[in-house]
Amino acid sequence: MKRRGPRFALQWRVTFALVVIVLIPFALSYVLLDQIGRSAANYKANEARESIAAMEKSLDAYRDLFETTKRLHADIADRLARRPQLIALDPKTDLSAILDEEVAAQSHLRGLALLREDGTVVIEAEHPLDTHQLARLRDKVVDQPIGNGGSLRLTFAVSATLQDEYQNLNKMIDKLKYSTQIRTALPDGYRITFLVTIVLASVIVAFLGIVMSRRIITRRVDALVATARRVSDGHVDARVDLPGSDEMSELGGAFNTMLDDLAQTRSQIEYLQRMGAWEDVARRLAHEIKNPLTPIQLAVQQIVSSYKGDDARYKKQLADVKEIVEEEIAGLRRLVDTFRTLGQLPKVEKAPIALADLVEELRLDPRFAQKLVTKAPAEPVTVRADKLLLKRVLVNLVENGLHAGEEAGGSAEVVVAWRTDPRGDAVTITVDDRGKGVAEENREKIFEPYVTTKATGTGLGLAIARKIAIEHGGDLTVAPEKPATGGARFVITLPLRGPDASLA
Amino acid sequence: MKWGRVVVLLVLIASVAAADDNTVPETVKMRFVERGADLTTSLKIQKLFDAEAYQKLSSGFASTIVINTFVYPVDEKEPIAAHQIVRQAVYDLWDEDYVIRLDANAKPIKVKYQAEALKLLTSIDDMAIARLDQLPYGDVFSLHMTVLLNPVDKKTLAEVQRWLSQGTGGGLDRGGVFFGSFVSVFVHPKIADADAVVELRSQPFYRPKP
Repeated sequence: MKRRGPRFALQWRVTFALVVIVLIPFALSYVLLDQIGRSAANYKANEARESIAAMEKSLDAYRDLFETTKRLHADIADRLARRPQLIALDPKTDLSAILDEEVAAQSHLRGLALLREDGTVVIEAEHPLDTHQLARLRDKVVDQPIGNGGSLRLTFAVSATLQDEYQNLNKMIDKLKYSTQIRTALPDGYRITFLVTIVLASVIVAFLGIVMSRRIITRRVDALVATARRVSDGHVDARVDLPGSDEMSELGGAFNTMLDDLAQTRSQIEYLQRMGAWEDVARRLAHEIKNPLTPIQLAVQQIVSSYKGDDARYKKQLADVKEIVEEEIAGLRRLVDTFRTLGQLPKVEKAPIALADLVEELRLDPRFAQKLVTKAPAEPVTVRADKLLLKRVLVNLVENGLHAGEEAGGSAEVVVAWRTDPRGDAVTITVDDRGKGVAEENREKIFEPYVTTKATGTGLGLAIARKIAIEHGGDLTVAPEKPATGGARFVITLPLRGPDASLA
Repeated sequence: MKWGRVVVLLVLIASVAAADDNTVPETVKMRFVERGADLTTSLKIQKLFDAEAYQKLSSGFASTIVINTFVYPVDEKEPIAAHQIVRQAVYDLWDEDYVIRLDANAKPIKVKYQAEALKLLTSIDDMAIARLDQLPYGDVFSLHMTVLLNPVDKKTLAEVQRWLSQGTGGGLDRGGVFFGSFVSVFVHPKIADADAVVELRSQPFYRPKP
């Protein structure tokens, strides 16, 4: 036994093809996306680096602002501390005037106090902040020592939000650094996402490929293969059922048609083989039986004529014997002639025949003239057939039909109709009678030689008729359904197309 | 057999990766004292500030320290008590002193010198780590402490990550939002959790019966 190949080979091939079809554009997209991602990330990273550098310079500017402001405050404090009246801790010093001078000089000085060594205030002056200023300014105190142990306390109004702005700027830089780091990691993220997508898509496509190829192709191919195997195992009646309306269903239908044709051909070959065997037997019997008949007949006649006596009773007996022997010999001769007919069927010689003309010729036979009903199609049908043989078949079927009708006790009428099949491949000639019909179990048997249901039949007529039909490339069968006439329907099928040669 | 080797290899790789992620905490001797209803500890956190971090104290930016404490029964993986303290130091660029908050609700402390600020930030004095009723007499526990210097603000990080991977969202960008969410699952930037992390583990301790 041959080893069978991998069962799902076709299925896996289809799935593999689908996955490859999906993977190719994905792979190209992956490469493209990777490049785009890298370029975009590099571009943005450079942009961010430049922004960070600019912001860090701003931080330096903030720091410089703090330092410069503080140096300015120190300078003012140093300058004021050099004033003699302040060094002298003179309580009559007009601090307000000094303060006004500084305010006029936009030094942001808003308070001055002269302190003794122990920290007690000698004199002080202040410019209060209004509500609006309070919201955005805060005090910065500078204590400047003066020569005599005392000190000068200067209160400057400085920005209350400057350090917050400075810190916020730093936070922004941190944020930008994070975003740069994340952005650098983004291409990897996209790459992994894309790979995951590819894998998911491949898995889905593979799953769908398996399911769909199984549903659409392989399951039906399996059914086809299984049926072919059953047929090869001898189950000639096995057929495949492939529902749908696609090529696979069409293939299933063609496969079944091929099996039908094979079964029919096989049946016909077997039939012809059987017929061949019968023909051989018939030829031998005809030869062996026919030869002694004449001597027997002559011998009997001689015995009868040689009696010269006058025994009337004996004469009568001899005359009866002679009559019986001659009658039986005549019967045997007819039988031998029939045998010879079976064994000496002429070779089929096909020629175009108009079926309507052939059937009309049957009407010329006085036996059929009044009892034959024909139903011709609108379009005339011409077949390639041996006219004599085909006529013989029709005569046989019409004769049988008339006998069947008479035996059934009804009107002896036979209906002959013919029509081409819808595809124009064959013509079907039906011969319907008004007899009792053919029992289902006899539908095949009646075509076997020497099988007859008639009292006087030889059982060779239908066998010869079917042989002729088969030799024309067609067949003769009994239809399972009853015709409108109520009796049997014999169906002759003849090909209109295909090779001319018959099976004979 | 072949698949078995692959599995073993994957397990080994995973183990190595996991080992990289888990730093072994340093075991230090800690002092535990019962104060009222709490068990407290005191210690000095070493190795948190390097030179750069120390310098940054005077930059005018906030330096933040997050101290997480977990009390574990010995040989168990679930802590029975967890506390967190957030400390912050900011150098006031106008007044030129350090403003330190030892806890979110604590009053700010002003110190003049950087070393003082460092000492305050890294000294833990009588910090409550668990309620006494959580610590049955005789049971053995250990304290795990994780100290982070300037931890990354997760909210900020998440916001930046979302902004980068999802775009602005809405309208025609909705598909992008979905894709961005999907992508963000696989984006793992190499951003450290903090400027510095110190992990400490105490010696095993127990409450003796009075």
